[in-house]
Amino acid sequence: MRYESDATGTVVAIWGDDRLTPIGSNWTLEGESVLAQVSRSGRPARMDGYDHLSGTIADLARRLGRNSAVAAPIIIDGRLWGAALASASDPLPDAVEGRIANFADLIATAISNAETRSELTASRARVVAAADETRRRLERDLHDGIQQRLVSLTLKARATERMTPEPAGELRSELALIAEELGGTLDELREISRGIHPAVLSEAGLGPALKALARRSALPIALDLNLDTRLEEPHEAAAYYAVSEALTNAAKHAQASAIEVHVGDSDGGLTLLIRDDGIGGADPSRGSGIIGLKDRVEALGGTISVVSPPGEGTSLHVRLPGRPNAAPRPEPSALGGRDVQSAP
Amino acid sequence: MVLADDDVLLREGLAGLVERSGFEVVGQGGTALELIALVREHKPDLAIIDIRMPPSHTSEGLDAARVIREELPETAILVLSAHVQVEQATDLLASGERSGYLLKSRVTDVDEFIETLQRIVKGGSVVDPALVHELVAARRVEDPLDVLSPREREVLSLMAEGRSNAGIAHQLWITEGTVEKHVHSILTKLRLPATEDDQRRVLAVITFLDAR
Repeated sequence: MRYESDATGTVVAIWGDDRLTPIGSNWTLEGESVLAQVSRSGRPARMDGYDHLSGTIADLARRLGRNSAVAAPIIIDGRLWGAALASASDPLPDAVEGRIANFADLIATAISNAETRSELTASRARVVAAADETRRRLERDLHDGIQQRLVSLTLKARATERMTPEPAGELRSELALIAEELGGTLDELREISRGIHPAVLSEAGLGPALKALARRSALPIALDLNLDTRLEEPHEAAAYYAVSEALTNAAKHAQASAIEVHVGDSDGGLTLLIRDDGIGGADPSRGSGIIGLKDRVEALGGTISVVSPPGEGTSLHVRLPGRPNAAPRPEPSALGGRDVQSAP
Repeated sequence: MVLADDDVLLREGLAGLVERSGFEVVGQGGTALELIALVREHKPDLAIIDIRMPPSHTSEGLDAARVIREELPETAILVLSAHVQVEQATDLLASGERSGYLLKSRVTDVDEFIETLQRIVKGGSVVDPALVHELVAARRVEDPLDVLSPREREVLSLMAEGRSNAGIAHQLWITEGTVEKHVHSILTKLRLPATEDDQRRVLAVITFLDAR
């Protein structure tokens, strides 16, 4: 049973007769029972005989004909999460108390692992989102701030150049040189800000961003885009950077002559396949780019795999799930797969 | 002409530049709404519009251009952008003739920029050379552009930038008759429709390059 904040408990797993206490049923903890005792004391409790006790759980015990019960607290990180209970019609042997306490410890570990895992996923997603937001802001600052200033400055240099009288020819050509240098700086700035964050991705979406990326690919590319709608921003970013990384790797390391990119969406989810015809044999664990992508993709509950047999090219396969905010659910545990993420 | 950019310094600089080159600036604004009001009031020959303006700093300028196109289709429109996007260019070109889509930094190349303004006002359509270069240079598996000769590629790029046959002839130091032959050959090889209309030709070429 998981203890709730409103002095009730919810059955999250059961072995045995569950007709009266199905998973998900909620019980008030008023009255006397081992579960109520554990919730108050945080310590193991034992009870033999419910005959004269009051409360819904005591009533239930009587209806089920259970006369003996042992419960032990499930404690996670020092807080009382719930209790494990064993009950029987005959008095339970003394050894059961120790066993149920051990079992409660095991459950505590399993729940703790599941919680840690989902917290990790959420925090990965936050780290990625924060980094992306910083990139977007930088790009905006570069375009709307520095670029505007530089254009203004260049215009000023051009105007001054035109105002300079003919006899001062050297001055004029110096001013023209300054304006040209500034023009070059503007080009560089545009390249840098594109590298920081492709504005086309947030403005026009994944399709146009991938087309722009493909146009700059060093290798000939076959782009197969099947996108119907805009996706959630983190999904679009993950897909964009996955293709970007794959194109870079294919051009740098794979000795490939061509690359194909397939992108398709369905129900807000996304499938990506990027395949080159290079030498294969890539070790994804050694590329920092792929590790960064793994963080992005797994933070969205997706999967990423690299298949690269020697001599047969490299393919990168990414799947992102449909529900944008869905974190991966913990593995079915001793709790029978019941959702434990919503634990208080 | 009317100028719209939320950066006052830049706007003033640009106004000074075009006025020294013989254009008359009848109004300046910092938002799409101000721009539309100015265009309604003055009915200028040309509007130069920064694509990113308040409130959201995304594509307000393009939205304003659409409104102007509907109300006063004779107005030439030049949209300036911090970076080039093919979708924005085709959007604007599809809205009508006398359209220009350029990188903002192009204003610093004064002679070229003034010449561009004149082309747009006279009815031409203009697409930024950087965008065209990106579209033409893109490498494709089974590239339809492979059937073109290097010279034809050059001509195709200039067509995509919005140059007329005379303009291309001038740029490449060849006769207009030769340009016409190249153009005919390119259109046949790429199965593009022949058209006398500048804007349609630019739009067709850009759309083809983007879709290949």
